[in-house]
Amino acid sequence: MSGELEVVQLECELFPERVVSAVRFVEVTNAASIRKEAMSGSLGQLAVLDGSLVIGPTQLAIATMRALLADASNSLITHTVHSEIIYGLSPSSSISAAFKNHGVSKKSKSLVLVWVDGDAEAMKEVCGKVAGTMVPVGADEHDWMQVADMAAVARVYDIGDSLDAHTSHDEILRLVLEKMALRDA
Amino acid sequence: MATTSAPTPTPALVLPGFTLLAQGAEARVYIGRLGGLDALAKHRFVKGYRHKVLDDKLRAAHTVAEARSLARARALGVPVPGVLMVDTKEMVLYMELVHGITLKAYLQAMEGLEIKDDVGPHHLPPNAMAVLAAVGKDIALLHNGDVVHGDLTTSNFMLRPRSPSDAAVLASKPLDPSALVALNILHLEVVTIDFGLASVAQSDGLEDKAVDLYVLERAFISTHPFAEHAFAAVLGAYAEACANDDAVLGRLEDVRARGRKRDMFG
Repeated sequence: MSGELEVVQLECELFPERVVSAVRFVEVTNAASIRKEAMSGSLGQLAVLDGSLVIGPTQLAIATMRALLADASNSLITHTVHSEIIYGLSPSSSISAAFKNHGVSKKSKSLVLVWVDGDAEAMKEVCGKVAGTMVPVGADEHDWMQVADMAAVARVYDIGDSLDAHTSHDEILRLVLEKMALRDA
Repeated sequence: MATTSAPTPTPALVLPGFTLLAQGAEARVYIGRLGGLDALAKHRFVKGYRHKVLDDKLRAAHTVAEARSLARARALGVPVPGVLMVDTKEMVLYMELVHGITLKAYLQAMEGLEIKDDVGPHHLPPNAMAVLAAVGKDIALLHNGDVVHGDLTTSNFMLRPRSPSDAAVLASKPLDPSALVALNILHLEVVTIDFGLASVAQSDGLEDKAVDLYVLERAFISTHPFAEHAFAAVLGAYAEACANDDAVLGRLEDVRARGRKRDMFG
């Protein structure tokens, strides 16, 4: 990895005092080693997400705010705020399903890294370890849905029945966020 | 002198970036942003006069029921605000803010319209009739899926613009009736809101569904001079899309005759 870091701050309005940073990589070739390092803890405190189920910054921000809310009320289901972000993306209350679907896997081709109150140097170091192409975490959901594996999104979030060729990106986002939210309801 | 203090109102929840929009008997509604989207936060606050254990249970049950009803409505093909997040600790339901105007504001604007034709006074132009038909169809879709809204009024339907130019028409103050009436159903999407009293119909659900329609009819009659004509458009579309319209509309006749009170439980 070379060049400028394309770090973007996610809008987590309910927690204005926290700085949430995200970086996205595509065409990743060393997911297996990143996964190993993430699990050993040598990457420090961050969430390493498989990019194929991430459909935009809103989804990321809301998963992060769910984690921060759980942290604030001492009701984290997982060990840390960062692992809770992975859990926050999941429509299932199963922790293992959440990590299997939303965490980095050996076969991940795209990755999204999220830091809460991350240190700039540490972020740079981690990004340097990823073999892939860094792309900006744009605000545009359309762009994200090009990169995401929409068939997997439909399957994991169980929204296939509500989708057809004409379903707007706004509606897909609504369906996904609803599935995430309804896990707690 | 002994003083009796009024029960202290529960303090407003502090939600960064959100401001209070409205207060009801059960909840306060705040407006703000969530994940970069315009959002509403509906906070069911503590009711001090209820036993705490019961209060917590009821607030949790109502918050969860509303979120589920919204998801169920969407699955039935009825446009509703998206559920963004549910905070089951503080009992806050975060929803997408629906832009646009209420059906009530729309109908009131229509009153300012001078219609010059031979159909007679107190009727509505075709575009408005199509909007009302969309309302009737959405109610039928909900009822076909056994979702009873529980609080159908002309304020609980939003007309959402489908394009920026449509949005500009809806944003003008005061509303321009002639520009508004030029918008057809391809420009406006009917969005049903406030599922706070929604429930799943019990047994055949006829009574609940008929009362749903009756309550809306009363809302029309109490606010709009062309109510009869307008509500007929709602009912016509309802009958067309409803799976057991004969039974529901038959029951509506009964409810009209006696009022909705028979169904008052809890």
